[in-house]
Parts: sequence; C-alpha cells; structure tokens
Amino acid sequence: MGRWVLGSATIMRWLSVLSIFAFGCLAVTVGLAFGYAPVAQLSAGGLTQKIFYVHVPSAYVMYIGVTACVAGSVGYLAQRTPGWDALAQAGAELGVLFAGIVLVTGPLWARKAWGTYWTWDPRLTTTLLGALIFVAYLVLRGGAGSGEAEKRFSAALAVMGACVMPVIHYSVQLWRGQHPTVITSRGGGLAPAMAHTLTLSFLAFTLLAAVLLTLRSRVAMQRSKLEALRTDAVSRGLFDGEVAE
Amino acid sequence: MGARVLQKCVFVGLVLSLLATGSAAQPAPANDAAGQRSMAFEPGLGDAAQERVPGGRLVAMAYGFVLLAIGGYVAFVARNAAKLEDDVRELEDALARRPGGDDPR
Repeated sequence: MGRWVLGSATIMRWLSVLSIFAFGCLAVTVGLAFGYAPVAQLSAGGLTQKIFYVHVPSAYVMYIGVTACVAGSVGYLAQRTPGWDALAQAGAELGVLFAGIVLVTGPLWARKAWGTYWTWDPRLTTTLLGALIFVAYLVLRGGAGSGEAEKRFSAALAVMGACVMPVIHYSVQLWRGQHPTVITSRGGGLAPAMAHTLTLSFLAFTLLAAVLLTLRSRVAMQRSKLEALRTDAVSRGLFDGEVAE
Repeated sequence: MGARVLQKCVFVGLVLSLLATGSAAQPAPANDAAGQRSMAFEPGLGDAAQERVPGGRLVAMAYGFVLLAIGGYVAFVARNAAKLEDDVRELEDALARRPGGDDPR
C-alpha cells in the first residue's frame, strides 16, 4: 500500500496525465452544463438547476472519500502500517472537502427552488452531521499529534462515524422532507441532454477523486517518512537533540 | 484505551452501519416519501424569462465556489507534496553524509 503510493516517477507521471484528463472533463462538463443541457422547469429551480451537475457528483465523491477513510482505518487497525493511515487521512480530507461543496452548492440551489437557503430537511441535516463527524476526525488528526494512540482513536472514530453515511443516503426514502429524488427507480428522471452532462460530470469527479486520494495519501506517506528520518537524524546526533521543523 | 476496546468500537460501528443500511434498504411502500417527492428534470421552455430570484448569480456563486475549492485544495496538496519531497531529500542527503552518526561535536 505505502510502497505503491510512494512509488515515485511512474505514479507521478500517471497522476499528471490523469489530473489533466480530469480537469479537461470538468471543463467540458461546465461547457455542456451551460451550452448543451437545457434550463430546467421553474419548479426545479430554473437556471439554478444547473448546480445539479456539480452538487450530485460532489455528494458521490463525499461517499468515496468516507469509504476510503473507513477502508484505511480498518486496514490501519488490522495492520498498523502507515500506508493505511495515509489512505484514511486522505479519504477524510476528501470527504470533508466534497461535503463542504455539497453543503454550499445545495443551499444556493435551494434559495431558488425552495425559497430558502437552509431547512432542517433530513438529508440536509444528516449530511451536515456526517460532515461534522469527519471534521472532528481531521481536528483530532491535526491537533492531537501523530502518535499511535491518536491514530487508533481516529480510526475508531472514522469507522463509527461512517454509520451516518447509509442514513444520509436513505434519508430521502425514509423520512419526509423537501429534498427531491431524481435518480430513482420510482419516478423522476432526466432529459437526455441533462443525463449526458451528468454522466460526464460523474466521470470527471471520479477521476478527480482518484487523483486527489493518491496525491494526498502520498503527502501523508511522505510526512511519516520525514518523521522517521528526523527521529533517525536525532538519534544519530544530526540535530544535536533539536528537531528542525 | 486498549486495542480490544478499539476493536469492539470498530465492530460496533460496522454492525451499526450494516443495520442502518439493512433497515433503510427495506422495500418501501408504493406511496413512500421518496415516491411522493420524486421529480423529473425537464427543459422549462421560456421559464428563464419568468424567473424572479436571480438564478444566474446563484449559479455563478456555486460554480465559482466549486472551482475555487477544488483548485485551492489541489494547489495546497501539490505545494505540500513538493515541500515534503524537498525536506525528505535534504534529510536523506544529510544522513547519507554522516553514516553511523558519529557527530564530531
């Protein structure tokens, strides 16, 4: 795991190619959203319905991030290797970033479609709760040090916190609220041009998630490698007992 | 906290997740909440002219935020990656120059 993330030149070359492709797809998605997909009916928000093409894929990447965080946390608890821990950190950061995007773009759309920025709808509330759990994870990782105990606490928090994810996903089916369901087997649907745009958007966001997860895991791995080197340097008297920052 | 307690936490978390997924994924009645709120997005012919809340500004804000957040994060991670790589290389070189760590000081 760790070796794969750190395996330098080839991975970096692929990452560069993938990131260029991802940003290219993102640019085309924005072009299609405004030049190809039609403006939706007023009850769906009219022009603001175009937020849909970044809002829904962001929610999907949030799930990817949290899944990676849980996988990394379980892997770390089982094997205690820095590679799994790096994946968990990267996943949590990705999850929080895209949850933030969901929680900003959603209210902007809601302002037009529902007449208010925020309402305590079950999906909105559970998404906020889920985001806060993973913000707590990042605060714990950032503020409580990088010792073994902190890593284990964080891993347990991530696994427990991920329980809210299925609740977010199914909240629209279980409870009444305002959040619409569009992609569902029981009604809803998209005009063909809207579906094409959304498909490309999903592709762009998936590639972006892969790039960001790998890049961020790599940073976490480099950081733990640097810490190990510093410990080694101190033990060999390189810093004379003082660890340089 | 011991490793066993943490393992129990993880086990409880996994069980809760499975329960949440399982109970939520039960087949819903025909007129369930989602069915009532399912919505089709269709082209709204001529609707744009009737919009009272300025949608363009909200869309611009949303797309601007997305691009800023993703671009900012990519720049932040790339900068960190470059800096860490330099630090690691520097330290590795320093350690290589002093095999055994017999510091003359």
